[in-house]
Amino acid sequence: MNFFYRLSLYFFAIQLVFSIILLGALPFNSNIYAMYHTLAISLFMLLTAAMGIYFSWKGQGSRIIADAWLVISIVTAYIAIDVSPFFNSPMKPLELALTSIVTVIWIVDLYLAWRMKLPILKL
Amino acid sequence: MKEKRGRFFFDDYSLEEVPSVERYGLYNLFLTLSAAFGAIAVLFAGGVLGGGLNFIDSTIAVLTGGTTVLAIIGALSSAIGAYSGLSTYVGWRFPFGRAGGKILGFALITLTTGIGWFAVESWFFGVVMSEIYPNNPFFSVWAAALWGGALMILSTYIGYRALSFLSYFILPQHVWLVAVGLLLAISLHGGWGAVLTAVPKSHMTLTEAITDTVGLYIAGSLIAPDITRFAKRAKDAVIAWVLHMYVFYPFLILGAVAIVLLTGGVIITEDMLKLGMGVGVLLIIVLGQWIINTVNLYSGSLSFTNAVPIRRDISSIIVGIIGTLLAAYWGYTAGASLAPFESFISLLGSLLPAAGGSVFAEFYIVRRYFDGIKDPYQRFKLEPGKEYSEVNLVGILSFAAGALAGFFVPGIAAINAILVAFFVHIILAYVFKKAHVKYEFGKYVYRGGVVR
Repeated sequence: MNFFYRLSLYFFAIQLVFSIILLGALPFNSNIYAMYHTLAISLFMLLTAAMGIYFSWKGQGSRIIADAWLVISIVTAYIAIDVSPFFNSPMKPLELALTSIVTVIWIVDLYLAWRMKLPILKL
Repeated sequence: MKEKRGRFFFDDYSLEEVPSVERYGLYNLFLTLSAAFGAIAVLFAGGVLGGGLNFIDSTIAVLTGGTTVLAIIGALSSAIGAYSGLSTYVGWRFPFGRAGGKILGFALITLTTGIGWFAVESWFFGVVMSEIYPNNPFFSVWAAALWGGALMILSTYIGYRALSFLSYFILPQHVWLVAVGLLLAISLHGGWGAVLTAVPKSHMTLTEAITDTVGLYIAGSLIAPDITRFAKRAKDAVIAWVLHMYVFYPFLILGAVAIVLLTGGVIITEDMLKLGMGVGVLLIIVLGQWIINTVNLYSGSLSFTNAVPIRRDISSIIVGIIGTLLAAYWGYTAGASLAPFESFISLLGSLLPAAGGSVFAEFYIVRRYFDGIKDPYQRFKLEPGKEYSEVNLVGILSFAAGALAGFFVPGIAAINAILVAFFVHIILAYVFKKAHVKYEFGKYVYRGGVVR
């Protein structure tokens, strides 16, 4: 397994753990909108992490990159909505921290893929 | 200037067939088509629809007019783009001749989409920005139009790579934000039952609604080859188009209808702000208008390059600056008027579809059955060193007939124009060929696509 696939595998594993933590934090949300929103993002992260682990294991580079783009796009939308008063909740700082880390690791992953001459725009 | 394989890197094969090594797969096309032609324009159209129709009627209008009609038209033109690998306007050299294609491309795309729509969207960007941040000079209509336009020119300069990048980032984000907005509106305003029973503020007939939904997207359907020429296979282009029309388009437009019906406003972004979506709305506006205007200008620059032999990246700057200045001028003088937007929809709804009808007739009927070219890859093929005609009289006449039908025949103007141009083109080509009357005039030798 080459460096990029191994690194992506680690990143997806981190995302998987984060999504489980977010699922665990669900009952601590103070309002129903925040809870549903957290449920949606944690399930999305769980699903894309599982897909990513499979793609990394199988060495499917372009699918890893497509998955990374998808995660970055959705997670940044989630973070953007989080500033709304509708989503005020005691668990939000933790959720924002985890989703921000996820965003950063996939930007790093795409940057490394680009440095390794992998076609990050040609899906 | 950076060059790649003997071509200027940012020219994007503006006057030649996109080589197979530079083509993209289904996933890329789906995201790019959805983000490029859909996004914020569809949201605003949903807002207008929800202001005049209830949810059931809006669904009927969208699924009949919007989705089905546009899926067919877009699929036909997407396939032409993928088969030929040529931009829409270079492809127009076949039904209209080189001079005809240049003039029509310049008049119908450079002036309308490239400068007009680009200016309208930039102006609209300024309007929305000034509504979100009132009393801030940097976000006044004209100032926001200026810096927004500059941002869009930059991505258009880069070309298809920038479009892909923006699409990967923007499309899933839009889906998420609209879904959250929709769920919030439903949760806070009485549930699904309230969506179904909500009464619109004003009245709109079903025919008007279908005309509007078709008119909104018809230009995108007909200039789809600008994007689909990058498709690896015609099948990918068609699937990507149909999929985005049946999944993405109805979701966005009906989502916007529901939000508007529940919250009572007509400008969708204002309604989403009322729901408390804050920065999320800003993302929709900035990124959504960025990509849709990048496509407007991208098509404008391709048609301008087809008309005037300069590199596409240079023409994107020229056309973009004109559009941005126009937007800033509107912002400075007219304030928040929607009239320019509506007049542009009317103009495009009656002129551009006529050209589409002639192109369909030439590619699918005349070349296939009258000229006997069975291989679709060969029907619109430009080969260096070969002679082609300057003017195709059949194309020009059928376009004129279609345009007149769009103006004067009652019904859905865009569909009337396409059908009339399509049938007139076939009939005229058949009659001229049977009578052995020459209808292609002037000759030029195609010398490849390098413009320096």
